[in-house]
Amino acid sequence: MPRLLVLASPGRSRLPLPDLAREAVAGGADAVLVRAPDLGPEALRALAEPLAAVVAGRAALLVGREIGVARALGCGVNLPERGDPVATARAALGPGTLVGRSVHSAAAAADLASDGADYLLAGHAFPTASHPGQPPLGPAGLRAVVAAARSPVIAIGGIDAGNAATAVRAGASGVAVLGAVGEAADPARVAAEIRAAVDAALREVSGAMGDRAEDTDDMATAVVVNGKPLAVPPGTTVSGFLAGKRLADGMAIVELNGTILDRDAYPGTTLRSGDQLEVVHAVGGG
Amino acid sequence: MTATAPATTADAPLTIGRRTFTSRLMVGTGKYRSREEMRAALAASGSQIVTVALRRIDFDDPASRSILEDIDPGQFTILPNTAGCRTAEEAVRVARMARAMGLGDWVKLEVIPDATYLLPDPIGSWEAAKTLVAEGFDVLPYIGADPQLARRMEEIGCATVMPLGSPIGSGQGVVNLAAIRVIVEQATVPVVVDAGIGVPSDAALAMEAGAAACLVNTAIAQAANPGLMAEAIADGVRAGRKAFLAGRIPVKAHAAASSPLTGVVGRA
Repeated sequence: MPRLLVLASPGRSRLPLPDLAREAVAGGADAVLVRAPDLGPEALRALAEPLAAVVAGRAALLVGREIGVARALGCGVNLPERGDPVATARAALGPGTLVGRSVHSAAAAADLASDGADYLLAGHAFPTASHPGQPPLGPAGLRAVVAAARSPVIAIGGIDAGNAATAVRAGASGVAVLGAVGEAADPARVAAEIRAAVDAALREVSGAMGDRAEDTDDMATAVVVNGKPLAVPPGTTVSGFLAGKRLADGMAIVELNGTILDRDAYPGTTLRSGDQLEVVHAVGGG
Repeated sequence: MTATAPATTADAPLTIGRRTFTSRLMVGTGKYRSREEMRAALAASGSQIVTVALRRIDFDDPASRSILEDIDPGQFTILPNTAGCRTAEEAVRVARMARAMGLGDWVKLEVIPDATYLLPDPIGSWEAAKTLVAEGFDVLPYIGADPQLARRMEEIGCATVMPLGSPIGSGQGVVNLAAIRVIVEQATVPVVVDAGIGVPSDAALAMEAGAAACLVNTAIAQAANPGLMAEAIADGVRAGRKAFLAGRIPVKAHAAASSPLTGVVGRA
């Protein structure tokens, strides 16, 4: 899961986008999202294509919205809040490709609970030049998104080295930046500062969780499966849980907190403490 | 003397909702003593539709596995049921799970609140059927042999009605044939007699009365030789169906001699 996602967007980068991507990855970005909402698919593809070689093997590449372009480039896609279902992207891109989605509210995160995105890009987190005059989510809003979300949350909007830790303490698994890196005089240095802040805050947060859980299994996530309490390792996804139970492929169906999960959503759905699962299969019957 | 082939009528296929079948025997997959016996019996039955139930996976039982692993999807169409559901809400939930599992947009609907008689709740079944039909399911409701309820089920768009012959697993046969005849007479959807069939003659009786198909589970699964009983009941279903198509003679109060009454040897 990306901890530092850098957006490469025309007009918001001092450097040509391939150069920005190189700098960002050198500084510690582990994902680069090419975002150009004003461009058509052809132009987006032309813009993103040179970045593939730059980030290859070092960070994930994603494009905004266009599943067809992602498929052509063999990269991931970040879907808009009201865009295609994640299942559509997965069907086109195959397993193992990052599929994320932008959300702007806790309500949207809740609506998309069974969508199965690998991450939710939630914003805008802090006041930002991209959304002048609009109230940001702030730490409380971000916390609400994390609570409603079924996927890891990446905070976006007004993020810098000074407030990245605040986003992580609000429950974000990572942060995304546009101008802070793109418009910086030294993008690699700024990326490194933000990445360091995120890593430190994540250690701090997981350390705090460890303290709370000192007498129980090592930070285990407590869930209820088929009516029985069960502890699973933190970060366990539904597909990871099923694989751990050695269930034959495609034989089980999972209901999570009363909602039937689409099978495509299993890999992107992380179990959280208090989750109620019904895991059901077919048995003999008349 | 010339041999004449028996005059047979080619039977129409059995159409249930969006699906069509040539076999008129549906079989359940419960209560078999082993998976091997079940596989053999399913094959011997010649059935094209087999029912399954949905249950929580027992993670404490390492031998627990899906029944689907033992059913060839190329040979059989799986019909999920909502057995065990006591309310309309539970049945709708299980039907949706079955669909999510990939078992298709159809369901044998059971809403059974009591465990002693296992008699279906007509109101809960009707409510669940209405919801599921609206969600695009072909609904096959298990009902008491109540002609008026059967009509109501048909009115809201059920794909069949499945009146019970006698209580589930009882092997009492078809104890309410008069009611089933009425259901058949007024139905425009297939009538499937489900539950209570114990021997081939029970199945034949239901088919002779005009049932479009029978569903049998316990009588086969718990027979001393399930494979042989599956074959026998399939024969019973076929025999009853042929008799229905052939048209039975009216029942008379007195004898009617089969041989000429005239020219009897030694009589004027």
